[in-house]
Amino acid sequence: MIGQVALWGILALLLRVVVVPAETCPPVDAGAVARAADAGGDWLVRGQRDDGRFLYGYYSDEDRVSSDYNTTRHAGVMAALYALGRIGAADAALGYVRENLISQRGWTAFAPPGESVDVGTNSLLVVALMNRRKATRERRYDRLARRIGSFLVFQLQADGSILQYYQRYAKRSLPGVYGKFATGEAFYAMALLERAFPAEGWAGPAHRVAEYLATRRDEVEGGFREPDHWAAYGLAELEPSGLTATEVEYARWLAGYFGYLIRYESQHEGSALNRLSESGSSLGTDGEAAAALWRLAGAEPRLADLHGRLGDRVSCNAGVLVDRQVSAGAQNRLARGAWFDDGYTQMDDQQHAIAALLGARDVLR
Amino acid sequence: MSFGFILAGFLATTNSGRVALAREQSKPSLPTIGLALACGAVLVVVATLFADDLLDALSISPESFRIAAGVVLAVTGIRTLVWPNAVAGPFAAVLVTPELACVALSFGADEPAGRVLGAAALTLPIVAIAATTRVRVPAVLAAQLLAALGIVVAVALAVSGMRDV
Repeated sequence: MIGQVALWGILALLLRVVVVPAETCPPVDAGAVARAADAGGDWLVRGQRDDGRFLYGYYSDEDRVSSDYNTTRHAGVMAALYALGRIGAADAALGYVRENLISQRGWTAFAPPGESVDVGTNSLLVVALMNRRKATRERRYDRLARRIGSFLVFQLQADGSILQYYQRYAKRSLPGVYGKFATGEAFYAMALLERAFPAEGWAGPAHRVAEYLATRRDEVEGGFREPDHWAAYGLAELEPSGLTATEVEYARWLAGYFGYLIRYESQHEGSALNRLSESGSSLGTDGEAAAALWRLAGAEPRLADLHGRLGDRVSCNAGVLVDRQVSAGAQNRLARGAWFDDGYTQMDDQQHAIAALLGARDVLR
Repeated sequence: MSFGFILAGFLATTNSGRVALAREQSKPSLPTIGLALACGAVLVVVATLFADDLLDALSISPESFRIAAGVVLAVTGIRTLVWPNAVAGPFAAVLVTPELACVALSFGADEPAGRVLGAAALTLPIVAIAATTRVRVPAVLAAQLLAALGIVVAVALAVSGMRDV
Protein backbone atom coordinates (compact mmCIF):
# COMPACT_ATOMS: atom_id res chain seq x y z
CA MET A 1 0.00 0.00 0.00
CA ILE A 2 2.83 2.41 0.95
CA GLY A 3 4.62 1.45 -2.26
CA GLN A 4 1.47 2.19 -4.21
CA VAL A 5 1.15 5.65 -2.63
CA ALA A 6 4.83 6.35 -3.30
CA LEU A 7 4.31 5.35 -6.93
CA TRP A 8 1.39 7.78 -7.13
CA GLY A 9 3.58 10.50 -5.71
CA ILE A 10 6.41 9.91 -8.19
CA LEU A 11 3.93 9.75 -11.09
CA ALA A 12 2.32 13.01 -9.99
CA LEU A 13 5.72 14.71 -9.71
CA LEU A 14 6.82 13.50 -13.14
CA LEU A 15 3.54 14.63 -14.61
CA ARG A 16 3.95 18.05 -13.06
CA VAL A 17 7.50 18.54 -14.30
CA VAL A 18 7.22 16.97 -17.74
CA VAL A 19 3.60 17.19 -18.91
CA VAL A 20 1.85 19.96 -17.01
CA PRO A 21 4.23 22.51 -15.50
CA ALA A 22 2.47 25.63 -14.24
CA GLU A 23 1.39 27.99 -17.00
CA THR A 24 3.14 31.21 -16.04
CA CYS A 25 1.64 34.34 -17.53
CA PRO A 26 3.41 37.44 -16.19
CA PRO A 27 0.83 40.16 -15.45
CA VAL A 28 0.70 42.84 -18.12
CA ASP A 29 -1.50 45.80 -19.08
CA ALA A 30 -2.07 47.85 -22.22
CA GLY A 31 0.43 50.49 -21.12
CA ALA A 32 3.26 48.00 -20.57
CA VAL A 33 2.51 46.39 -23.91
CA ALA A 34 2.60 49.75 -25.73
CA ARG A 35 5.92 50.66 -24.06
CA ALA A 36 7.44 47.30 -25.00
CA ALA A 37 6.32 47.68 -28.63
CA ASP A 38 7.81 51.18 -28.72
CA ALA A 39 11.11 49.95 -27.31
CA GLY A 40 11.20 47.23 -29.97
CA GLY A 41 10.53 49.89 -32.61
CA ASP A 42 13.38 51.99 -31.18
CA TRP A 43 15.78 49.07 -31.71
CA LEU A 44 14.81 48.89 -35.39
CA VAL A 45 15.04 52.65 -35.92
CA ARG A 46 18.42 52.90 -34.14
CA GLY A 47 19.80 50.28 -36.52
CA GLN A 48 18.48 51.86 -39.72
CA ARG A 49 21.10 52.80 -42.30
CA ASP A 50 21.15 55.77 -44.67
CA ASP A 51 19.80 53.66 -47.55
CA GLY A 52 16.69 52.74 -45.54
CA ARG A 53 17.75 49.19 -44.69
CA PHE A 54 18.00 47.95 -41.11
CA LEU A 55 20.55 46.29 -38.88
CA TYR A 56 19.95 42.62 -39.64
CA GLY A 57 21.20 40.85 -36.52
CA TYR A 58 23.31 41.21 -33.40
CA TYR A 59 25.28 38.70 -31.27
CA SER A 60 25.31 40.14 -27.77
CA ASP A 61 27.91 37.73 -26.36
CA GLU A 62 30.45 38.68 -29.02
CA ASP A 63 29.19 42.25 -29.46
CA ARG A 64 29.12 41.58 -33.21
CA VAL A 65 26.58 42.58 -35.85
CA SER A 66 25.46 40.34 -38.70
CA SER A 67 26.09 41.51 -42.25
CA ASP A 68 23.28 39.38 -43.73
CA TYR A 69 20.19 40.88 -45.25
CA ASN A 70 16.80 39.62 -46.35
CA THR A 71 14.23 41.50 -48.40
CA THR A 72 11.23 39.64 -46.97
CA ARG A 73 12.28 40.73 -43.50
CA HIS A 74 12.83 44.25 -44.79
CA ALA A 75 9.22 44.38 -45.97
CA GLY A 76 7.98 42.70 -42.77
CA VAL A 77 9.76 45.23 -40.58
CA MET A 78 8.30 48.04 -42.67
CA ALA A 79 4.82 46.64 -42.05
CA ALA A 80 5.45 46.49 -38.29
CA LEU A 81 6.82 50.05 -38.20
CA TYR A 82 3.83 51.45 -40.10
CA ALA A 83 1.50 49.60 -37.71
CA LEU A 84 3.46 51.10 -34.80
CA GLY A 85 3.12 54.60 -36.25
CA ARG A 86 6.84 55.05 -37.02
CA ILE A 87 6.01 56.52 -40.40
CA GLY A 88 9.33 58.33 -40.97
CA ALA A 89 11.51 55.25 -40.51
CA ALA A 90 9.13 53.06 -42.48
CA ASP A 91 9.02 55.62 -45.32
CA ALA A 92 12.83 55.62 -45.40
CA ALA A 93 12.67 51.82 -45.77
CA LEU A 94 10.08 52.30 -48.51
CA GLY A 95 12.61 54.53 -50.27
CA TYR A 96 14.92 51.52 -50.60
CA VAL A 97 12.02 49.51 -52.00
CA ARG A 98 11.10 52.18 -54.54
CA GLU A 99 14.64 52.20 -55.87
CA ASN A 100 14.41 48.47 -56.53
CA LEU A 101 11.09 48.04 -58.26
CA ILE A 102 10.69 46.18 -61.51
CA SER A 103 7.66 46.36 -63.76
CA GLN A 104 6.35 43.88 -66.29
CA ARG A 105 3.16 44.06 -68.28
CA GLY A 106 0.41 44.64 -65.72
CA TRP A 107 2.39 44.29 -62.54
CA THR A 108 5.16 45.78 -60.43
CA ALA A 109 7.31 44.09 -57.81
CA PHE A 110 10.21 44.75 -55.46
CA ALA A 111 13.41 42.83 -56.18
CA PRO A 112 16.92 44.18 -55.65
CA PRO A 113 19.38 43.48 -58.51
CA GLY A 114 20.48 39.86 -58.71
CA GLU A 115 17.47 38.52 -56.83
CA SER A 116 14.46 36.69 -58.18
CA VAL A 117 11.11 38.28 -57.47
CA ASP A 118 9.82 36.72 -54.26
CA VAL A 119 6.10 36.40 -53.54
CA GLY A 120 6.68 36.52 -49.76
CA THR A 121 8.63 39.77 -49.94
CA ASN A 122 6.06 41.42 -52.17
CA SER A 123 3.13 40.19 -50.12
CA LEU A 124 4.59 41.79 -47.01
CA LEU A 125 5.22 44.93 -49.04
CA VAL A 126 1.48 45.08 -49.77
CA VAL A 127 0.84 44.56 -46.03
CA ALA A 128 3.21 47.45 -45.28
CA LEU A 129 1.50 49.73 -47.82
CA MET A 130 -1.92 48.85 -46.43
CA ASN A 131 -0.68 49.55 -42.88
CA ARG A 132 0.68 52.86 -44.13
CA ARG A 133 -2.67 53.67 -45.75
CA LYS A 134 -4.44 52.97 -42.44
CA ALA A 135 -1.94 54.92 -40.33
CA THR A 136 -1.67 58.01 -42.55
CA ARG A 137 -5.03 57.94 -44.38
CA GLU A 138 -3.01 58.78 -47.50
CA ARG A 139 -3.80 57.09 -50.82
CA ARG A 140 -0.58 57.89 -52.66
CA TYR A 141 0.66 54.28 -52.79
CA ASP A 142 -2.67 52.64 -53.69
CA ARG A 143 -1.62 52.19 -57.31
CA LEU A 144 1.65 50.56 -56.29
CA ALA A 145 -0.20 48.24 -53.88
CA ARG A 146 -2.62 47.19 -56.63
CA ARG A 147 0.21 46.53 -59.10
CA ILE A 148 2.10 44.40 -56.57
CA GLY A 149 -1.19 42.62 -55.86
CA SER A 150 -1.40 41.91 -59.59
CA PHE A 151 2.03 40.23 -59.38
CA LEU A 152 0.72 37.98 -56.59
CA VAL A 153 -2.30 37.03 -58.70
CA PHE A 154 0.05 36.43 -61.66
CA GLN A 155 1.87 33.81 -59.56
CA LEU A 156 -1.40 32.18 -58.44
CA GLN A 157 -2.10 28.73 -59.93
CA ALA A 158 -5.48 27.25 -60.79
CA ASP A 159 -5.44 25.02 -57.70
CA GLY A 160 -4.84 27.96 -55.34
CA SER A 161 -1.12 27.33 -54.87
CA ILE A 162 1.29 30.20 -55.44
CA LEU A 163 4.69 29.85 -57.04
CA GLN A 164 7.23 31.59 -54.84
CA TYR A 165 9.59 33.03 -57.45
CA TYR A 166 9.48 34.88 -60.72
CA GLN A 167 12.82 34.78 -62.52
CA ARG A 168 13.44 38.33 -63.64
CA TYR A 169 16.04 37.51 -66.30
CA ALA A 170 14.35 34.39 -67.70
CA LYS A 171 11.06 36.30 -67.46
CA ARG A 172 9.03 33.36 -66.18
CA SER A 173 7.71 31.96 -62.94
CA LEU A 174 9.86 29.22 -61.43
CA PRO A 175 7.70 26.08 -61.53
CA GLY A 176 7.27 23.69 -58.59
CA VAL A 177 8.79 25.91 -55.91
CA TYR A 178 6.56 27.10 -53.07
CA GLY A 179 7.46 29.16 -50.02
CA LYS A 180 6.94 27.89 -46.52
CA PHE A 181 5.27 31.16 -45.55
CA ALA A 182 4.90 32.94 -48.91
CA THR A 183 1.49 31.45 -49.73
CA GLY A 184 0.02 32.56 -46.39
CA GLU A 185 1.62 35.97 -46.82
CA ALA A 186 0.09 36.32 -50.28
CA PHE A 187 -3.30 35.29 -48.90
CA TYR A 188 -3.04 37.99 -46.22
CA ALA A 189 -2.03 40.59 -48.82
CA MET A 190 -4.96 39.67 -51.07
CA ALA A 191 -7.38 39.81 -48.11
CA LEU A 192 -6.08 43.30 -47.24
CA LEU A 193 -6.51 44.42 -50.85
CA GLU A 194 -10.07 43.09 -50.81
CA ARG A 195 -10.73 45.02 -47.60
CA ALA A 196 -9.28 48.26 -49.03
CA PHE A 197 -10.71 47.94 -52.54
CA PRO A 198 -13.81 45.78 -52.15
CA ALA A 199 -15.20 46.15 -55.66
CA GLU A 200 -12.03 45.15 -57.52
CA GLY A 201 -12.21 41.36 -57.41
CA TRP A 202 -9.50 40.51 -54.88
CA ALA A 203 -11.85 38.26 -52.89
CA GLY A 204 -11.88 35.51 -55.53
CA PRO A 205 -8.12 34.88 -55.53
CA ALA A 206 -8.01 35.28 -51.73
CA HIS A 207 -10.67 32.60 -51.18
CA ARG A 208 -8.96 30.33 -53.69
CA VAL A 209 -5.68 30.56 -51.75
CA ALA A 210 -7.48 30.08 -48.42
CA GLU A 211 -9.16 26.92 -49.68
CA TYR A 212 -5.77 25.66 -50.86
CA LEU A 213 -4.10 26.42 -47.53
CA ALA A 214 -6.87 24.69 -45.65
CA THR A 215 -7.21 21.58 -47.76
CA ARG A 216 -4.43 20.92 -50.27
CA ARG A 217 -1.16 22.53 -49.25
CA ASP A 218 0.26 19.55 -47.33
CA GLU A 219 -0.46 17.25 -50.25
CA VAL A 220 1.07 19.55 -52.87
CA GLU A 221 4.02 20.98 -50.95
CA GLY A 222 4.74 18.23 -48.43
CA GLY A 223 5.06 18.94 -44.74
CA PHE A 224 2.36 18.47 -42.18
CA ARG A 225 -0.05 21.21 -41.24
CA GLU A 226 2.32 24.14 -41.45
CA PRO A 227 1.63 26.62 -38.65
CA ASP A 228 0.68 29.73 -40.57
CA HIS A 229 0.07 32.91 -38.66
CA TRP A 230 -0.19 34.80 -41.94
CA ALA A 231 -3.22 32.71 -42.80
CA ALA A 232 -4.73 33.71 -39.44
CA TYR A 233 -4.27 37.37 -40.36
CA GLY A 234 -5.77 36.73 -43.78
CA LEU A 235 -8.86 35.01 -42.41
CA ALA A 236 -9.45 37.87 -39.97
CA GLU A 237 -9.22 40.41 -42.80
CA LEU A 238 -11.39 38.38 -45.15
CA GLU A 239 -14.20 37.92 -42.62
CA PRO A 240 -16.31 40.89 -43.77
CA SER A 241 -16.58 39.35 -47.24
CA GLY A 242 -17.89 36.13 -45.68
CA LEU A 243 -15.90 33.01 -44.82
CA THR A 244 -16.72 29.56 -46.17
CA ALA A 245 -17.30 26.61 -43.81
CA THR A 246 -13.85 25.28 -44.76
CA GLU A 247 -12.22 28.60 -43.87
CA VAL A 248 -14.01 28.72 -40.52
CA GLU A 249 -12.87 25.18 -39.75
CA TYR A 250 -9.32 26.13 -40.74
CA ALA A 251 -9.49 29.16 -38.44
CA ARG A 252 -10.62 26.89 -35.61
CA TRP A 253 -7.72 24.54 -36.30
CA LEU A 254 -5.25 27.44 -36.34
CA ALA A 255 -6.70 28.76 -33.06
CA GLY A 256 -6.12 25.37 -31.45
CA TYR A 257 -2.62 25.13 -32.86
CA PHE A 258 -1.44 28.55 -31.73
CA GLY A 259 -3.38 28.34 -28.45
CA TYR A 260 -1.51 25.15 -27.64
CA LEU A 261 1.85 26.71 -28.53
CA ILE A 262 1.20 29.67 -26.24
CA ARG A 263 0.18 27.34 -23.40
CA TYR A 264 3.30 25.27 -23.97
CA GLU A 265 5.55 28.33 -23.97
CA SER A 266 3.93 29.66 -20.80
CA GLN A 267 4.65 26.31 -19.13
CA HIS A 268 8.34 26.94 -19.68
CA GLU A 269 8.38 30.61 -18.75
CA GLY A 270 10.76 31.40 -15.91
CA SER A 271 11.18 27.74 -15.01
CA ALA A 272 14.55 26.55 -13.78
CA LEU A 273 13.74 22.90 -14.49
CA ASN A 274 12.49 23.02 -18.05
CA ARG A 275 13.23 26.44 -19.45
CA LEU A 276 12.53 26.75 -23.14
CA SER A 277 14.56 28.98 -25.40
CA GLU A 278 12.26 30.80 -27.84
CA SER A 279 13.10 33.67 -30.16
CA GLY A 280 11.11 36.90 -30.28
CA SER A 281 10.09 35.85 -33.76
CA SER A 282 8.70 32.53 -32.59
CA LEU A 283 6.87 33.96 -29.58
CA GLY A 284 5.69 36.90 -31.67
CA THR A 285 4.18 34.86 -34.51
CA ASP A 286 2.19 32.82 -31.98
CA GLY A 287 0.87 36.01 -30.42
CA GLU A 288 0.13 37.56 -33.81
CA ALA A 289 -1.91 34.55 -34.88
CA ALA A 290 -3.81 34.37 -31.61
CA ALA A 291 -4.61 38.11 -31.72
CA ALA A 292 -5.80 37.92 -35.35
CA LEU A 293 -7.98 34.92 -34.53
CA TRP A 294 -9.29 36.72 -31.42
CA ARG A 295 -10.44 39.57 -33.69
CA LEU A 296 -11.97 37.05 -36.07
CA ALA A 297 -13.74 35.15 -33.26
CA GLY A 298 -15.19 38.46 -32.06
CA ALA A 299 -16.79 39.06 -35.45
CA GLU A 300 -17.60 35.56 -36.72
CA PRO A 301 -20.47 33.89 -34.79
CA ARG A 302 -19.29 30.40 -35.78
CA LEU A 303 -16.08 31.00 -33.81
CA ALA A 304 -17.56 33.01 -30.94
CA ASP A 305 -16.91 30.20 -28.43
CA LEU A 306 -13.13 30.73 -28.89
CA HIS A 307 -13.11 34.47 -28.24
CA GLY A 308 -12.57 34.46 -24.46
CA ARG A 309 -9.91 31.77 -24.42
CA LEU A 310 -8.04 33.37 -27.33
CA GLY A 311 -8.05 36.63 -25.38
CA ASP A 312 -6.50 34.79 -22.42
CA ARG A 313 -3.80 33.31 -24.63
CA VAL A 314 -3.00 36.65 -26.26
CA SER A 315 -2.63 38.31 -22.85
CA CYS A 316 -0.42 35.49 -21.64
CA ASN A 317 1.80 35.69 -24.71
CA ALA A 318 2.10 39.47 -24.29
CA GLY A 319 3.13 39.01 -20.65
CA VAL A 320 5.84 36.55 -21.69
CA LEU A 321 7.06 38.88 -24.46
CA VAL A 322 7.29 41.88 -22.13
CA ASP A 323 9.07 39.72 -19.57
CA ARG A 324 11.63 38.44 -22.09
CA GLN A 325 12.48 41.82 -23.64
CA VAL A 326 15.82 43.44 -22.83
CA SER A 327 15.03 46.45 -20.63
CA ALA A 328 14.62 49.78 -22.42
CA GLY A 329 17.10 51.13 -19.90
CA ALA A 330 19.89 48.68 -20.74
CA GLN A 331 23.32 50.17 -21.45
CA ASN A 332 23.95 48.31 -24.70
CA ARG A 333 22.10 50.18 -27.45
CA LEU A 334 22.14 47.13 -29.73
CA ALA A 335 20.48 45.02 -27.05
CA ARG A 336 18.09 47.55 -25.53
CA GLY A 337 14.44 46.78 -26.36
CA ALA A 338 15.26 43.59 -28.30
CA TRP A 339 14.31 39.94 -27.89
CA PHE A 340 17.25 37.54 -27.78
CA ASP A 341 17.46 33.81 -28.19
CA ASP A 342 20.73 32.20 -27.19
CA GLY A 343 22.55 35.54 -27.34
CA TYR A 344 21.31 36.52 -30.81
CA THR A 345 18.59 38.80 -32.11
CA GLN A 346 17.63 39.76 -35.64
CA MET A 347 15.25 42.23 -37.20
CA ASP A 348 12.29 39.86 -37.50
CA ASP A 349 12.46 39.08 -33.78
CA GLN A 350 11.49 42.70 -33.20
CA GLN A 351 9.07 42.71 -36.17
CA HIS A 352 6.96 39.80 -34.92
CA ALA A 353 7.17 40.74 -31.25
CA ILE A 354 5.99 44.30 -32.03
CA ALA A 355 3.11 43.00 -34.16
CA ALA A 356 2.06 40.57 -31.41
CA LEU A 357 2.16 43.33 -28.80
CA LEU A 358 0.08 45.63 -31.00
CA GLY A 359 -2.46 42.82 -31.35
CA ALA A 360 -2.43 42.28 -27.58
CA ARG A 361 -2.97 45.98 -26.93
CA ASP A 362 -6.45 45.66 -28.46
CA VAL A 363 -7.23 42.67 -26.26
CA LEU A 364 -6.01 44.36 -23.07
CA ARG A 365 -7.80 47.68 -23.65
CA MET B 1 -17.44 16.82 -25.17
CA SER B 2 -20.38 14.46 -25.60
CA PHE B 3 -22.18 12.77 -22.71
CA GLY B 4 -21.27 9.41 -24.27
CA PHE B 5 -17.57 10.31 -24.17
CA ILE B 6 -17.76 11.27 -20.49
CA LEU B 7 -19.61 8.03 -19.75
CA ALA B 8 -16.93 6.06 -21.64
CA GLY B 9 -14.26 7.82 -19.56
CA PHE B 10 -15.90 6.80 -16.31
CA LEU B 11 -16.67 3.25 -17.50
CA ALA B 12 -13.02 2.80 -18.41
CA THR B 13 -11.55 4.29 -15.26
CA THR B 14 -13.90 2.64 -12.76
CA ASN B 15 -13.04 -0.57 -14.65
CA SER B 16 -15.63 -3.07 -13.38
CA GLY B 17 -13.50 -5.96 -14.63
CA ARG B 18 -10.68 -4.96 -12.31
CA VAL B 19 -13.18 -4.49 -9.46
CA ALA B 20 -14.39 -8.06 -10.08
CA LEU B 21 -10.79 -9.29 -9.99
CA ALA B 22 -10.24 -7.54 -6.66
CA ARG B 23 -13.45 -9.08 -5.30
CA GLU B 24 -12.34 -12.58 -6.36
CA GLN B 25 -9.00 -12.01 -4.68
CA SER B 26 -10.02 -10.42 -1.38
CA LYS B 27 -13.64 -11.63 -0.93
CA PRO B 28 -14.78 -8.40 0.75
CA SER B 29 -17.72 -8.13 3.14
CA LEU B 30 -20.80 -6.12 2.17
CA PRO B 31 -19.83 -3.15 4.39
CA THR B 32 -16.37 -3.10 2.75
CA ILE B 33 -17.99 -3.07 -0.69
CA GLY B 34 -20.20 -0.20 0.45
CA LEU B 35 -17.16 1.65 1.73
CA ALA B 36 -15.33 1.11 -1.60
CA LEU B 37 -18.25 2.52 -3.57
CA ALA B 38 -18.52 5.46 -1.17
CA CYS B 39 -14.77 6.19 -1.49
CA GLY B 40 -15.05 6.14 -5.30
CA ALA B 41 -18.12 8.38 -5.23
CA VAL B 42 -16.47 10.87 -2.87
CA LEU B 43 -13.36 10.97 -5.07
CA VAL B 44 -15.44 11.71 -8.19
CA VAL B 45 -17.68 14.28 -6.50
CA VAL B 46 -14.80 16.18 -4.88
CA ALA B 47 -12.65 16.10 -8.02
CA THR B 48 -15.55 17.25 -10.19
CA LEU B 49 -16.75 20.04 -7.92
CA PHE B 50 -13.29 21.39 -7.07
CA ALA B 51 -11.65 20.84 -10.46
CA ASP B 52 -11.56 24.55 -11.37
CA ASP B 53 -10.14 25.55 -7.98
CA LEU B 54 -7.49 22.85 -8.03
CA LEU B 55 -6.36 23.58 -11.59
CA ASP B 56 -6.32 27.32 -10.85
CA ALA B 57 -4.16 26.66 -7.80
CA LEU B 58 -1.78 24.59 -9.93
CA SER B 59 -1.87 27.18 -12.78
CA ILE B 60 -2.94 24.60 -15.31
CA SER B 61 -5.57 25.31 -17.96
CA PRO B 62 -8.29 22.66 -18.45
CA GLU B 63 -6.98 22.13 -21.99
CA SER B 64 -3.46 21.31 -20.77
CA PHE B 65 -4.81 19.09 -18.02
CA ARG B 66 -6.60 17.01 -20.66
CA ILE B 67 -3.16 16.05 -21.96
CA ALA B 68 -2.03 15.05 -18.47
CA ALA B 69 -5.21 13.04 -17.89
CA GLY B 70 -4.65 11.35 -21.24
CA VAL B 71 -1.11 10.36 -20.23
CA VAL B 72 -2.28 8.92 -16.92
CA LEU B 73 -5.13 7.00 -18.56
CA ALA B 74 -2.85 5.64 -21.24
CA VAL B 75 -0.19 4.47 -18.76
CA THR B 76 -2.68 2.81 -16.39
CA GLY B 77 -4.67 1.40 -19.33
CA ILE B 78 -1.58 -0.24 -20.83
CA ARG B 79 -0.64 -1.58 -17.42
CA THR B 80 -4.06 -3.22 -16.99
CA LEU B 81 -4.06 -4.48 -20.56
CA VAL B 82 -0.70 -6.21 -20.06
CA TRP B 83 -1.08 -7.22 -16.40
CA PRO B 84 -4.81 -7.53 -15.73
CA ASN B 85 -4.43 -7.91 -11.96
CA ALA B 86 -6.31 -6.36 -9.08
CA VAL B 87 -4.46 -3.33 -7.76
CA ALA B 88 -2.56 -4.02 -4.52
CA GLY B 89 -4.16 -2.58 -1.39
CA PRO B 90 -7.39 -2.88 0.55
CA PHE B 91 -10.61 -3.50 -1.38
CA ALA B 92 -12.10 -0.32 0.08
CA ALA B 93 -9.61 1.68 -2.03
CA VAL B 94 -10.25 -0.24 -5.27
CA LEU B 95 -11.78 2.84 -6.93
CA VAL B 96 -9.36 5.36 -5.52
CA THR B 97 -7.11 5.43 -8.55
CA PRO B 98 -5.11 8.15 -10.33
CA GLU B 99 -6.97 7.55 -13.57
CA LEU B 100 -10.42 8.03 -12.00
CA ALA B 101 -9.23 11.16 -10.19
CA CYS B 102 -7.74 12.56 -13.40
CA VAL B 103 -10.80 12.02 -15.61
CA ALA B 104 -13.10 13.44 -12.93
CA LEU B 105 -10.86 16.51 -12.66
CA SER B 106 -10.60 16.91 -16.42
CA PHE B 107 -14.31 16.45 -17.09
CA GLY B 108 -15.17 18.62 -14.08
CA ALA B 109 -13.02 21.46 -15.42
CA ASP B 110 -14.50 21.26 -18.92
CA GLU B 111 -18.16 20.42 -18.38
CA PRO B 112 -21.03 21.35 -16.05
CA ALA B 113 -20.81 19.38 -12.78
CA GLY B 114 -24.35 17.94 -13.13
CA ARG B 115 -23.53 16.42 -16.51
CA VAL B 116 -20.28 14.88 -15.25
CA LEU B 117 -21.79 13.51 -12.05
CA GLY B 118 -24.76 12.19 -14.04
CA ALA B 119 -22.42 10.18 -16.28
CA ALA B 120 -20.42 8.96 -13.28
CA ALA B 121 -23.62 7.89 -11.50
CA LEU B 122 -24.54 5.64 -14.42
CA THR B 123 -21.39 3.58 -13.85
CA LEU B 124 -22.16 3.02 -10.14
CA PRO B 125 -24.66 0.14 -10.63
CA ILE B 126 -22.23 -1.64 -12.97
CA VAL B 127 -19.41 -1.34 -10.46
CA ALA B 128 -21.77 -2.43 -7.65
CA ILE B 129 -22.74 -5.55 -9.62
CA ALA B 130 -19.10 -6.36 -10.34
CA ALA B 131 -18.29 -5.97 -6.64
CA THR B 132 -21.15 -8.12 -5.34
CA THR B 133 -22.11 -10.73 -7.94
CA ARG B 134 -21.54 -14.37 -7.15
CA VAL B 135 -21.86 -15.36 -10.81
CA ARG B 136 -18.53 -16.20 -12.43
CA VAL B 137 -17.69 -13.40 -14.85
CA PRO B 138 -14.78 -13.17 -17.35
CA ALA B 139 -13.16 -10.55 -15.13
CA VAL B 140 -9.76 -10.58 -16.83
CA LEU B 141 -11.27 -10.08 -20.29
CA ALA B 142 -13.58 -7.35 -18.97
CA ALA B 143 -10.66 -5.58 -17.27
CA GLN B 144 -8.64 -5.68 -20.50
CA LEU B 145 -11.53 -4.48 -22.67
CA LEU B 146 -12.21 -1.56 -20.35
CA ALA B 147 -8.49 -0.79 -20.23
CA ALA B 148 -8.49 -0.68 -24.04
CA LEU B 149 -11.46 1.69 -23.87
CA GLY B 150 -9.39 3.75 -21.43
CA ILE B 151 -6.57 3.98 -23.96
CA VAL B 152 -8.98 5.21 -26.64
CA VAL B 153 -10.34 7.83 -24.24
CA ALA B 154 -6.75 8.75 -23.32
CA VAL B 155 -5.79 9.40 -26.93
CA ALA B 156 -8.95 11.43 -27.54
CA LEU B 157 -8.33 13.51 -24.42
CA ALA B 158 -4.69 14.20 -25.25
CA VAL B 159 -5.43 15.07 -28.87
CA SER B 160 -8.26 17.35 -27.80
CA GLY B 161 -5.94 19.01 -25.26
CA MET B 162 -3.40 19.69 -27.98
CA ARG B 163 -5.89 20.86 -30.59
CA ASP B 164 -7.90 23.14 -28.35
CA VAL B 165 -7.15 26.80 -27.69
